[in-house]
Amino acid sequence: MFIQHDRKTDIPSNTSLIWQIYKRRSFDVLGLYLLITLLALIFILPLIINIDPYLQNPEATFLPPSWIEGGEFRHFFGTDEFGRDFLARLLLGAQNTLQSAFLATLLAMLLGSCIGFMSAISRRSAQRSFLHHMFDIISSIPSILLALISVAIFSPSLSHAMLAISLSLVPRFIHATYFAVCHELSKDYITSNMLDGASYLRLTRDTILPNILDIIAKNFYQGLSIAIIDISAIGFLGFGAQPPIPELGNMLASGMDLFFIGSYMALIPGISIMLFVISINLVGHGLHRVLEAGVSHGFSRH
Amino acid sequence: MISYILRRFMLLISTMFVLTIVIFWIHVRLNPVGDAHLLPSYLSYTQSLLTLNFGKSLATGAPIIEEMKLYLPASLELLTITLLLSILIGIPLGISLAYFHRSFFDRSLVIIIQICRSMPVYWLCQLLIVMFCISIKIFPTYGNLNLLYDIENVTGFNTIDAFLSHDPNIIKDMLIHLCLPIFSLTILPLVEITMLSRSATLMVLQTNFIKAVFSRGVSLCYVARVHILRNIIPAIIPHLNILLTNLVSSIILVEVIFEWPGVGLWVTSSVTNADYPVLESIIFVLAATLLTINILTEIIITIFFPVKKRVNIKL
Repeated sequence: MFIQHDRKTDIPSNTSLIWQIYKRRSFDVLGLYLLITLLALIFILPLIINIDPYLQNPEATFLPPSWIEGGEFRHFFGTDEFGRDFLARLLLGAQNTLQSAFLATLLAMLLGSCIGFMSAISRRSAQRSFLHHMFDIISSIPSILLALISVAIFSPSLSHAMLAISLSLVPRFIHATYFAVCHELSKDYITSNMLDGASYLRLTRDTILPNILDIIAKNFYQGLSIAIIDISAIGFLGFGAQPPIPELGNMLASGMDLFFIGSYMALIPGISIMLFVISINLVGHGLHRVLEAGVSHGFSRH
Repeated sequence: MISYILRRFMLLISTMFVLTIVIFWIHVRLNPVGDAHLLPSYLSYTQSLLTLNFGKSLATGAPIIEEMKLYLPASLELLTITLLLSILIGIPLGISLAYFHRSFFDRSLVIIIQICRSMPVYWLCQLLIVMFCISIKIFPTYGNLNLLYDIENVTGFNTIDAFLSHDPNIIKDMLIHLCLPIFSLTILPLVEITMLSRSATLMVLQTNFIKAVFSRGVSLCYVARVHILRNIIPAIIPHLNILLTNLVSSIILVEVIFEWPGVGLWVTSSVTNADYPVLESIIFVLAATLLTINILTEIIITIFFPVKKRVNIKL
């Protein structure tokens, strides 16, 4: 009957505040569930189905998916031209693509944000502009062309594609961090903090970083979706992961060759790339909203 | 203003210098120079690059500059048509989306835009080929003109040459070949420009002068053309650089799939044939052009929108 107002429970905790802001947009919640489902699928399902993705079986090539007549339940999505299980390859391929894209973006974020910070904070104008424009040359070379260069110099492999994509993502982090930090530095509380005798490290970690985290997060999710599409594009051209190793891009390319034998082999990898990118965009958008709303206490010490 | 433009030119020159060093490094890695000293070979190599004397292609034996004159216009026409289309459709679409903010029209289109954004270009191309070239045979699968038609090479641009031929069959054939590549290329920049102009218009619509203009009963069309458009252009232009670079990336992919005789097809075949002089010269030409365009757009923004000198802070 009577609603007890307990003061302690009325004040929302940090986590619940984050969730309250996050769930205001239902698409973002949908994207979060989708991303969790996809991640669980690609990392846990291989342990359950337990089929070697490289195992060839010449007697069972081009099996259709299990819901079509002639398919076996053991090979849920059927088999490819060498009789390898398609589902196992798809899961491993998605793992490869996602892991390398994530690593590439993480690397680019660390390098780019550090350089952006250093250039915005440094007082010597020569040093400042050198750091800021150091990677301009890379931003003017298209990412696919950069990957082609790395293939020509080194050899075609997934890790080289990953490095090239990572390098192509660095300038956007530098520019974003640079402008964000410059904007923060012009504010009064920075000056007061500096008058307090804060060192540059402390200023960066405690004062500036929590305030520009939303911009870094936004660039991170955009970069991650670009990296997924680009890495699979390089795989599609045949310069990324080399044939026995599955990767969404080269699976798409080989599936397209066999489109009229089994269209599912071309459709499923493409759809999974799309789902990943959509869910990452939605979750990233939600996180950006949360960070922009000012819930970044968890990352600072105050 | 003049000192700003001079500084930009200094930046252009210094980045060009770094570009020549990077390309020379690529050159050394690809073609071992042996015992030759680095500095003299760097100087001679850079001199030959800057005078556009790229040498001969290893695969065909023809001078690279002559081949480039054949391949570059084909990519350039894809690029210009795509950019024009995406700007002409994207900006009005973005303004109308922002004006009808949170309506059914806005919400449904934003969902479609999210889906389009996550569509890999190469997959879209192949699905289009399967749908419109093989199932329903209305578009050709490859190339930029049917081999039966022979048109005179006047400007190098296939589209202009076809119009110059005054033959309706050739013009129709050229347009039909153009449809699918342009469609698949336009989606991504179109979506980006739409979202950019939508968010910029949302900011502009909150200002008081727009509210005042609307309260005076001025028509939406006039407001959009005169007041909104002029205020959102400076927010869009800084993003054109990244857009352009990404567009070149997707042009490479689309050209490979549609066998469009442009730079993308040429560069991928040069990598598979280990034809490295071609690769180096393409990198130099593309990077130098894009760098110059970047600096020029920055200067143009500063001249026409002086308030925006320090570029938009919130990226």
